[in-house]
Amino acid sequence: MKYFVSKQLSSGLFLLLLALSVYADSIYQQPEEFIAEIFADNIPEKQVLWVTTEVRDEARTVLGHELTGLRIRYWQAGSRTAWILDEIGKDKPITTGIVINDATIEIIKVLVFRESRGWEVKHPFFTDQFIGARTASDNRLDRNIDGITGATLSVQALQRQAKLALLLSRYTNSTNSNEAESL
Amino acid sequence: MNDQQPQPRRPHPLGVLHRYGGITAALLVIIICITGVLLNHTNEFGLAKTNVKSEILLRWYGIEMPASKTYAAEDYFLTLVGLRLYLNDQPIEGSYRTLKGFIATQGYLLASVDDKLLVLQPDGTVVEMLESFHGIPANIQNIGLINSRVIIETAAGLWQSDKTLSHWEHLNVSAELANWSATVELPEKLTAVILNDQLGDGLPLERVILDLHSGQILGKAGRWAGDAVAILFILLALSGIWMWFKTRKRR
Repeated sequence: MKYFVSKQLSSGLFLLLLALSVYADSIYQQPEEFIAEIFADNIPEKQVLWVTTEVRDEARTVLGHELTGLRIRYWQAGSRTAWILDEIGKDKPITTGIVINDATIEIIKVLVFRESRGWEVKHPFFTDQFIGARTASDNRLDRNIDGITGATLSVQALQRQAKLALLLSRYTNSTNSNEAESL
Repeated sequence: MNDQQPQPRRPHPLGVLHRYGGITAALLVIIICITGVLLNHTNEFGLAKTNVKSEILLRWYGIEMPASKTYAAEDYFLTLVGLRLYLNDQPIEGSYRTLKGFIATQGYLLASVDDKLLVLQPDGTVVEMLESFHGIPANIQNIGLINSRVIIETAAGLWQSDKTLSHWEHLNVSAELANWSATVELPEKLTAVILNDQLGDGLPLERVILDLHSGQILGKAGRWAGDAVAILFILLALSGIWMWFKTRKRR
């Protein structure tokens, strides 16, 4: 009897933990730690990119929806820019850190994953496909990214984030990008 | 000569039942017929797509406005209702769980939502959302102003920002020096608009008409009343047929 009760409690606890693990946000790395890591603790000043009509129009074609907000903050050191972007896979935003260097993806890393499935996109076997990718015509990537069965929406979300980061980095040296001077 | 007037014939009880039952049923027949016709043409009248906005009806169906919290800054009211944020009566893009302060500064509006800082234009357009990786202190309790500088109150104390909200430094002053944002009562006019927006999605007109037709609108009592009316209609039909046969036989 005692064994039976103990077994039931263990099963219940296991199911509870399983349920909690499914619904809790999975933080693989805090965004601030990601920024500190890529700039080797020599974090540059944050820059501001104002979302002009031109940027907004291009972002819409990349994302398939409107870009939220009128400005985006990013970090820049020389030709390297770092972006923390949110994009919804199915229901919840996936937070990804992306470093662009000379119009090429240098680093892409899933930082926070909130969806109930599709977390496989966090693995390097998937994200490594983006490294070295550049923008081809029509804001497409210059290469095919192999999908993951059962994680199609998360894969697509990461592709959109990669394309958006490449797009935004193109505008960082233009006049609409500056260190913020006022709110 | 016989002075006695002829006694009026005593009406048959079934005839009395038919007469009064008919009067009682008349109003119900009208309601049932009108709602029945409407339900037959749900698509044509767009009943499923039309939402009921009547506060009385919405409350009757037990649809209440979720708990709300409102802050005021200058002439602006920021209200969190459920997961939706309203600047005056305009819904703000996105969904939010908590609201812990609201101020106006440098021509922008700042709100502390979900432990982040939401920057808005006065027309409600989202400028940006600043998070911990932008340097925003964690566990925000309230936001305020000291000498036009934005101040955040956290469990770890007070933090003051630069003009760009990029850098935050710990501030060793009394919290009383700051002009903190505070919750207020939402003006009635705005409450009505937000209530309408919040509750209007939940009750299609088709549901109300269907419930009127079946009596379900009065709940369990309505269902029993509907049954009683159906029995009344059967009795009216039977008594009518019986009286028709009786009159025919007499002739």
